[in-house]
Parts: sequence; structure tokens; C-alpha cells
Amino acid sequence: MIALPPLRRRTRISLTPMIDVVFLLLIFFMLAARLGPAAVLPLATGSGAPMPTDLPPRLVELRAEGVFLNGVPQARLEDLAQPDAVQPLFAALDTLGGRAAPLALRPAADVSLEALAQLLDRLSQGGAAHVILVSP
Amino acid sequence: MITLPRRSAQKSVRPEPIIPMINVVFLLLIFFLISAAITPPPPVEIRLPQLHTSEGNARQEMGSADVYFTRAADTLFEGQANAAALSALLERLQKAEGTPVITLHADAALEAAEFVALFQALRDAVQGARAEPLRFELSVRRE
Repeated sequence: MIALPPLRRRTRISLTPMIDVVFLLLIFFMLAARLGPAAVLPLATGSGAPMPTDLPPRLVELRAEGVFLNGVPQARLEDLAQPDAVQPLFAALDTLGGRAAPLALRPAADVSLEALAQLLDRLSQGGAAHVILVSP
Repeated sequence: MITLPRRSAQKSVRPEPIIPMINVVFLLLIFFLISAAITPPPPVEIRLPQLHTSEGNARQEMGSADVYFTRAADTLFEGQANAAALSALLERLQKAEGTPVITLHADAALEAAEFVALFQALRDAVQGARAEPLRFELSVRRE
């Protein structure tokens, strides 16, 4: 005679350990994830195509004393935080024939990349179409 | 005589069992854990340049190669440094499909002139790797 035991009622599993594990995973992914879209500045390079403008290039120098257009001071470095910091530069460009002219941007040796990035950002926001990085 | 256990008469009124659902949820969780690609951390501590504007380009993840310029003016790519990094990047670009984007992560304290020199060396090294022009972008932080 085979007597199978009667089916035991299933005990309810406790939710607390599962919630513990899920929270551990959640915290792991929160720490491992990079939040927010990373911001980038496009860097123009010579594509071999001719410039769409026949204006001559202008020399923009980034020195510790400020931003110079063809050797004339236009803005101070510490003012690059202000939205209208490069307005004098663009006004000078407009008197020279327009801001569509290619800009040769030459940083001096004692300026940080941060200042260069801030100037590139201001220039692209102001509508400078062609900025070429030139080594000193 | 064989005694089989008696089936419960009220089976139809029991609530849905929760354990199979938990099993499936854990299977899905493990599947996504394994298939997810976690962004590798930067090889060195890099402080990105801080900009004062809030609007601008967002990064496109498709087909981008991450190159790091350290404060000591070293070029890093996939665990290689300087000349080895450039040749590893060149190899990667020759295999890439579509228009590859090279994202430069440069330290904010790097001198701008050194950055331009490193950028030009990088450009010269990878120029001609592909028929179409490459796209470069500089990783920054915005307010």
C-alpha cells in the first residue's frame, strides 16, 4: 500500500527579502549609471571642401589678457561667463565684412582649455560658422 | 490500496499564484543585467570644461569613440597611451560603420595650446582612415 502524504498548503513566501534584493539592484544601477545626456561641442575640421565664403580669415587670439581680433582686444577672459561677452568681437567682425568670415582661433600658451571651450561655445552661439583651431 | 491526496474543492476561488510571476520577473531582470552594456568609467580622473550656457548639442552615442586627453597631455584610448592609442583608434575607425564620431574628453586644466597640438596630432593620425570626413566633438559640462 502506498500512502502519499497529503499536499501541504503552500506557505506564502515573505516579500521582505525580495524587496531587499530589488533595492540592492536599484542602488547598484543608480550608482553605476551616468545621468543626463552628455553635452558636447562640435569641433570643425578641414573637410577638403572649399569655404563657402570668399571673405579672408580673421585671426582671433585667446591670451591670458583676453580675446583679440586681429591684435585688437575685444573681451576679457573673466567676462566670458557673461552672455554678451563676445558682442564687441562680433560687432568688429561685422564692420570688417561679416561674421561669416572664417575665424582662425589661436590660443596662447598660458590659457586653459576651459577658456578655449567657453570661447568656442560663445562663438558658435553668436553665429560664427567656421572656426579653425590654429596652434601657436 | 493507493491513497491519492484529495484535490481541494475550492481551487477555482484561490488567488493567482504569485511565485511564477516572480520567477518570470527575475528571469527578465537577469536577462537585462547580462545584456546591458555598462558605460566604462573614464581611465583617469578628468574634469570637463564648464560652460556658462545651458543649450547646445547633446552627445550622439552611435558609433562614437572616446579619446581622453589627460592633464599631463597624454592621449588615452581603450587602455593604450599616446602612439599606441592612436594606432588602436585608427584600427577601430577602419572597422567602424557609418560616420564615426570621435568624442574628446579633455581635462579643463590642460593648456589650450597643448589641446590644439594633441587634437592636430590625432587628426593627422586618423586622416585618411575613411573616405568620408570624421566628426570630432569635445565633451563639456553645461550649467
